[in-house]
Amino acid sequence: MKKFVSLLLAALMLASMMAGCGAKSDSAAKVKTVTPGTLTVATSPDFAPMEFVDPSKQGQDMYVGFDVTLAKHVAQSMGLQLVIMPMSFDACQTAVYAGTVDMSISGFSWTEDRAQNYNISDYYHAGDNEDEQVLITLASNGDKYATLDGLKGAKIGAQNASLQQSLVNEQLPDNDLTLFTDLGTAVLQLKNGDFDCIAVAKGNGDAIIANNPEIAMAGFNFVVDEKYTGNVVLLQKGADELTAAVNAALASSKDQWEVWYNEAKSISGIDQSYDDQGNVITG
Amino acid sequence: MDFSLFLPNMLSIWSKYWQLFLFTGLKNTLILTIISVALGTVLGTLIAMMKMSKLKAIRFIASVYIEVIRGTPILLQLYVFYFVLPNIFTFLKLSQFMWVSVSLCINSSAYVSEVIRSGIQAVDKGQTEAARSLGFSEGQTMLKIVLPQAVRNILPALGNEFIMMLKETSLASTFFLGDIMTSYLVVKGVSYLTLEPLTIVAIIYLCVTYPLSKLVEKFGKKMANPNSYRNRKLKAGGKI
Repeated sequence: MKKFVSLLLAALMLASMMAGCGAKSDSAAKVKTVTPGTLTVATSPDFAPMEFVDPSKQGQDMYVGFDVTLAKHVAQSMGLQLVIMPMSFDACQTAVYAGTVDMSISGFSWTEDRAQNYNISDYYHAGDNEDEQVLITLASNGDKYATLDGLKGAKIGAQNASLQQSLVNEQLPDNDLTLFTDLGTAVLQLKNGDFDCIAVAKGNGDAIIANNPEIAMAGFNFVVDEKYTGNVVLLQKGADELTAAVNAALASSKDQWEVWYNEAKSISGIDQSYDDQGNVITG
Repeated sequence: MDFSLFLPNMLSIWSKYWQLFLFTGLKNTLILTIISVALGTVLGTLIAMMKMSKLKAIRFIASVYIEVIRGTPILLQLYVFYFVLPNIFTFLKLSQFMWVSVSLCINSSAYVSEVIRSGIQAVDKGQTEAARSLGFSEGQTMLKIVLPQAVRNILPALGNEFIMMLKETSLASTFFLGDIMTSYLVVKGVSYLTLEPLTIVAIIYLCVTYPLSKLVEKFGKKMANPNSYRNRKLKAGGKI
């Protein structure tokens, strides 16, 4: 049995070493990508308006949102064909680490741990998405949670390992913080009364409220430090040429970000309106 | 929690996305299930033969294979097949969909092999002994006497494996492979509604699995040995 375990371990080590080798040779040549001629980007398309699926379209066209537009621009500026590889948010990081994809553009915030294990691009800035960090709550609560006094004792939810988690820890240290992995499920928990408020980026909050009329802004805004206001692109550690190319593409597209963001917002239906029964008025 | 919006929301989601749920979601789920169970059965038969082999080394390999596959979570296997193996077998130009299918097929094969092995071993030993003493060779005994009887035990269990796999494929949604659970993720991502699309998904799964399990049940009864002591007694109107 011991022999079997050590064999298994050896096989695993070999596998990870080989995975590492493959990755190194990728970045050695000048802007060489995983699949020659294409730029493979991992994203988790369940996060409107940053990245989501337009179900009316087929194939690669169905991935839309700010990050997807950005990925298209990056690929174009490098003269490559863009291929989006959809997967869950956790898997995105694994994919970059394993060298399955060239990079991941999926609304990542900068954190120290990420900077240690990955190459990270310059900041990019998607409209008010990271600028304003807010609390959302049930509409029936009114402005109960709009002030620090009102928030005393309130149960707050934030996504695990997110910017919102650090903001709550910093600015509402006395509150009971519960972490979740998935925003859609957290909205359900909010409706169930598991949380009193959820900390989200304003753009996501708008999208949630547009589809859930019983939820509203709590009226509380976090103070957002300059270093938090951007998203970053995640690349494999050591892929310096690719990182430089991404940074160049980011710098050249700065003035279009606002337009891209508003476009993404309108596709995701954040501007949708509702009839009396709470049905979406399409048209 | 306020349920007054539940039904209107569910209906509006259904009317907007029903094609996504049925034509993309259900279709891909069925494709994944059929591929993995069909190839899994072929591979599983091979593994079952290895497990019953006379050579200790081959038996050992089959045991390790079965124990490793059945002893680790299927999601973990998907990660390995999706991220690690394509890096090792770079010469295999398989699509992501294929890698996940291969992973599910290998997972299925481990379970199927146990189904087949137990099906074969459930055939009464007297059958083998009788065939051998009548002069059948070992291979003939297996092919002409044991296997036809084992099929009776195996087929209904395979039907159950199909139903199991149909549900297991939902894990492919980790990689947005277009199965029914992916449809749910897509709708959730756009609408931030959770319970409503999940209910739709549950209904679709049930619409497929319930008739299937009824069918397997009926089939299983039909396949039961008509000449067994139990059935002869039942036919004669006796009590067991």
